Amino acid sequence: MAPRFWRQVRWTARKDLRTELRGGETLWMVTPFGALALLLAPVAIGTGAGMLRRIGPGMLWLVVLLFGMMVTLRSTAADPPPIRDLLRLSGLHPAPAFLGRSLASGALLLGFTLVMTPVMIVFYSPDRAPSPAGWLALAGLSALAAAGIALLGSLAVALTAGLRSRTALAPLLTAPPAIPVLMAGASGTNAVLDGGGNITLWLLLLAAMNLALAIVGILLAHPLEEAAA
Amino acid sequence: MASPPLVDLRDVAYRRSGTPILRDLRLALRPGEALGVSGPNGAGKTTLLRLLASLVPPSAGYCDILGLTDRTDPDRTAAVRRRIALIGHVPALWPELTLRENLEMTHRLRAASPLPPHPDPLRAVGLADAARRRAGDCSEGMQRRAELARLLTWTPDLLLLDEPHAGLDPAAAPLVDLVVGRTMGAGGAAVLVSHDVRRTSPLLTRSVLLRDGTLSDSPAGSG
Repeated sequence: MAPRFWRQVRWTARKDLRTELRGGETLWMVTPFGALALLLAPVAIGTGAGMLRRIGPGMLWLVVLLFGMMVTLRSTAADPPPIRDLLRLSGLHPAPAFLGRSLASGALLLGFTLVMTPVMIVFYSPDRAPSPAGWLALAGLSALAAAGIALLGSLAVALTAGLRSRTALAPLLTAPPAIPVLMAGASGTNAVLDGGGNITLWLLLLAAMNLALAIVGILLAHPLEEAAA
Repeated sequence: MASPPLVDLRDVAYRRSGTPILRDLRLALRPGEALGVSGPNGAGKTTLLRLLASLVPPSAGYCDILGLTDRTDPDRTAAVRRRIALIGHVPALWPELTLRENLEMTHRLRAASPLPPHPDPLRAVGLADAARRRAGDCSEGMQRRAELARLLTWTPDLLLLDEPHAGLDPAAAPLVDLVVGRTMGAGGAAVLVSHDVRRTSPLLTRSVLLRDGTLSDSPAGSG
């Protein structure tokens, strides 16, 4: 693809990350609440070591998915109409804007997941701390899962841009197709914590899903932007 | 022989959710022209500007904006839109970023290069001391000035201003004339929209009235 395409991808990601880091929505709101959800769940469900070990990975990825949707659908991920007009008149193509937005959301989500994973291990499975290779596998799994949720969120933002019901509709659009991410994340994490499981299939599933979402997003970006005008 | 028009609207209509907003529009804008559009609230002035900016498609009629008649080709659409500047009545600034960062971000997107330190467009609009303030912490007037400063970093072929003096103090009013004059001098055209045409610009070459979505000659006559 043309260099301008990738320049605009980088520009959008940089702009989204900069506005997000200044606003601090992910850092100061989503991350503490996500950690609290992980900490409070055992209080509600029970503190039996066997049960905590069983539900830990599932809880982690449920929190990542739900709070991840808040990250991808955060206010700075959807520019207000005057900014949208400005960007369209500055020559920003919708396709690189979609990818750049996904890249920024994916980076934020990866950071969020990498903070939540040790919290889960300490509170749910302290006796199953992974090996260095296991941490590496978890990082790869987290990166692909974060990219998947980010692409889904960006697609939902594009589909609901300009709609009054955006805040209600976007999470409903994101949640059902994110179920494979939930399954891959929970099963993959469980396999890594067990020490001997192979997560290649889960990684491949996530990679294939991300590729499909990226292609769909790029193809739909222009017509969706024009329809939202 | 007259130059070909930069904007050519013939029998253009625009409807939103079935409600007619603009009707039977006929308008041609040639290089060097500055058109004043006045009209009461709800007449369709802002929608007209967004139509001229190629941001919304007409529901009917022939609409040629800088040679763009349809928006099916993303590359062509983006190339034409890059030649248009629109300052709406709500400032288009990222509130989390400083005024300088706002200018730098859009300049980098448009020119694919960093904003040169000299000449400083923020100094030209009297905001040199506020360059490092977050846009969200600035007054409406300062935000309007910052938007005008953005127009000092390039010259559009089609300049569209919606209530350009709203929020500006009288000392800043010549800045509007400055950007309009630069556009006209470079062979572009400008459209200034206001509910009160007397408050637009002495540079207007003609004025029209927009009422109930239709254009007619302004009782104020040409500027």
